Amino acid sequence: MNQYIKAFEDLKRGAASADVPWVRRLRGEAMASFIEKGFPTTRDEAWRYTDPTAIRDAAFIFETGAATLSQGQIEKLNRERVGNRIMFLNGRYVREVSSLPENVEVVDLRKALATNPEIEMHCGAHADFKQNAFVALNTAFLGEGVLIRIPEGTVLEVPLRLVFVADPASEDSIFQPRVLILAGKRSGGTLVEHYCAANLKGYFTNIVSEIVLGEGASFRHCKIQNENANAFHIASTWVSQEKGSQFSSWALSTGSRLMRNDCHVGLAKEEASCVLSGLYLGDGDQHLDQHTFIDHRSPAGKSRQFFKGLMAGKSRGVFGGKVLVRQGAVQTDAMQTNKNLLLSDEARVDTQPQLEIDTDDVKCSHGAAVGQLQEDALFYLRARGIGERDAGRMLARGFAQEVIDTAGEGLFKKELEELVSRKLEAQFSQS
Amino acid sequence: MLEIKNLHVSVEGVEILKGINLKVQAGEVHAIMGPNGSGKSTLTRVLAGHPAYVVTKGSVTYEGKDLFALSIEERARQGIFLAFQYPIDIPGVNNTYFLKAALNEIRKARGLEELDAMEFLEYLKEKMKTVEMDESFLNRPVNEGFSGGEKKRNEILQMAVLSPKLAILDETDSGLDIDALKVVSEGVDRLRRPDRSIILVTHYQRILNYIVPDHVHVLMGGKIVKSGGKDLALHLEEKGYEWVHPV
Repeated sequence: MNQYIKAFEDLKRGAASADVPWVRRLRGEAMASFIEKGFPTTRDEAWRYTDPTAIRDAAFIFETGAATLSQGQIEKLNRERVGNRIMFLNGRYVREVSSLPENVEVVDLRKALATNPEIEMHCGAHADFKQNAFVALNTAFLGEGVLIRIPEGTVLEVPLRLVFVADPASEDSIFQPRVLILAGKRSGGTLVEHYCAANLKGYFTNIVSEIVLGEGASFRHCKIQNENANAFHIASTWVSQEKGSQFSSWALSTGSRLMRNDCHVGLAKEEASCVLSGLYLGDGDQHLDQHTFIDHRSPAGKSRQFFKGLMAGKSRGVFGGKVLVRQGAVQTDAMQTNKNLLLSDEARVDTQPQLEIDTDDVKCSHGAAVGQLQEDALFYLRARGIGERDAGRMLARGFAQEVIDTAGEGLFKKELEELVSRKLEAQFSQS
Repeated sequence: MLEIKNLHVSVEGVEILKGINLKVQAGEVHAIMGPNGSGKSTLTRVLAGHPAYVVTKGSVTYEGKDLFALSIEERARQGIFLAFQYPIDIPGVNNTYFLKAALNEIRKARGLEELDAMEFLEYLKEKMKTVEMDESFLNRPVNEGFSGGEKKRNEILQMAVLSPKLAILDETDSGLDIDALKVVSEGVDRLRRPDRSIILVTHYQRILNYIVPDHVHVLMGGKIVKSGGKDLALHLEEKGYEWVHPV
């Protein structure tokens, strides 16, 4: 805790002293909340199955100075440039290696905070630091990141990709990027977040994203979390939807030693709909926690959730999904499914679907299951000459395929298939 | 090709097979008939290596080797094929992908080159004619959403593709209407070869009109109680199993 207080004091006295008053106030309130609550423990209901003690006890270091890339790195990244890309290195936006779409405004968050008054309404207004200490910690150091503004009626032709590369110089760095997406009325597009690492040093990514969808906007949010095996990855995405807007998200989680992925969707106005899907695949000692919270606040909202987990080795998976239907949110239609496959005797999954309905005239259902590979199916494949390990992998792949198929066609799906295959390869080489 | 000697098999501590003796030569078709619960399916599964069945006594040699020393997949790779009575659904696994993986494992074991996607597809389309199967099945998950008849057809397609030396058909005729029975049985009959043996397990005689057996055995109470030629099946159909051996 002390290193955060010290870093915060340094920030306050130093670079941030010149920031606009509301930003300084927001940071101060977030820091006060963080100090008061501290890191969550397994006594907190929302963290019952995920113990963040290792994060609390680590002495994470804030990297100082501007993000710099060697000429070689820039050239390498530029060679890989495909489509529109927003590059982050160690949590910092790097303009030089980004290729930005023309019809969309992408601004360094620090600059946007100082100059764009529209931001004040949204930044920190959706991601609630009072109920989440990691959001508080991120908000207290608000500065790194981007503002993405898609003007009214604009539709992105190609997906916009946010690539977060971790290449820390020393062990135990902390990266706290922040993404604010303001999608205007009837705008649309796909955004892909991709997390990866250039080396194997441990680090901590603590990212907060806020996505605001205007009336009739239609937005797809894809995420690939492939951090290195020593990384901590805590992410929370907060979506606010206006009337008739559509949000879909697809999250693949394969990396990190400990992950907590929170997706919080508020269906603020009527006839908004969201579809959340994802896969988490763990092996070794990985701990992967996928949480969702759908807040049905207005009539005729629709939500669909479909998550699957495949855990091998001694890994542990957690799914916590809550659907809240508030008073007045009549004709809500909510469905949630979570299925898990344990690929070893030592793997474990805790799944906790929750439904809280405070109104009548709604259609809600949820289901959760944890199982193992079916003996009969394994026998069937082996009786056709397929080896035991390959048979298991084929069944596991089939299990995952049902969710992959919801990803739509295109590059993202191809990436998913490749990453899932690679991860299954690793999962079955251990068992 | 296959020699079963005094085979005793238990499931969960209950003895199902109580001393089976059977010799199958290359190219022969043996029909094993019997009432429900006589141990017919147990025999087929134990030959394929199902882990739930425990061999308590006896031996089985396949091409001169101890069958029980081979794993499930090794048996398949060495030419044993079991057509399941109840084929298993494999959600999310494409039929073509599955068949290609299986064939290439078997080809590898036989010292043959693996087929690539194009070569396999050509080979597969040829084989599909055997069972009059529609190409739309190929891109569907294995057995998922298939009707009973389609599943059985798919089993015989697999047999055609994998080209076994010993095919064991477990009630391939059950659950089929007359038209489907004809297609499936004629498909099997077309796969008869001098170097391929078939053990055909069935409850009814009707499939034997299409696949005429060389030998017919009656399995009751875990033992073969009567053996004979193809006429034995007709007698059974007429007089019932009690004619052979009062139950």
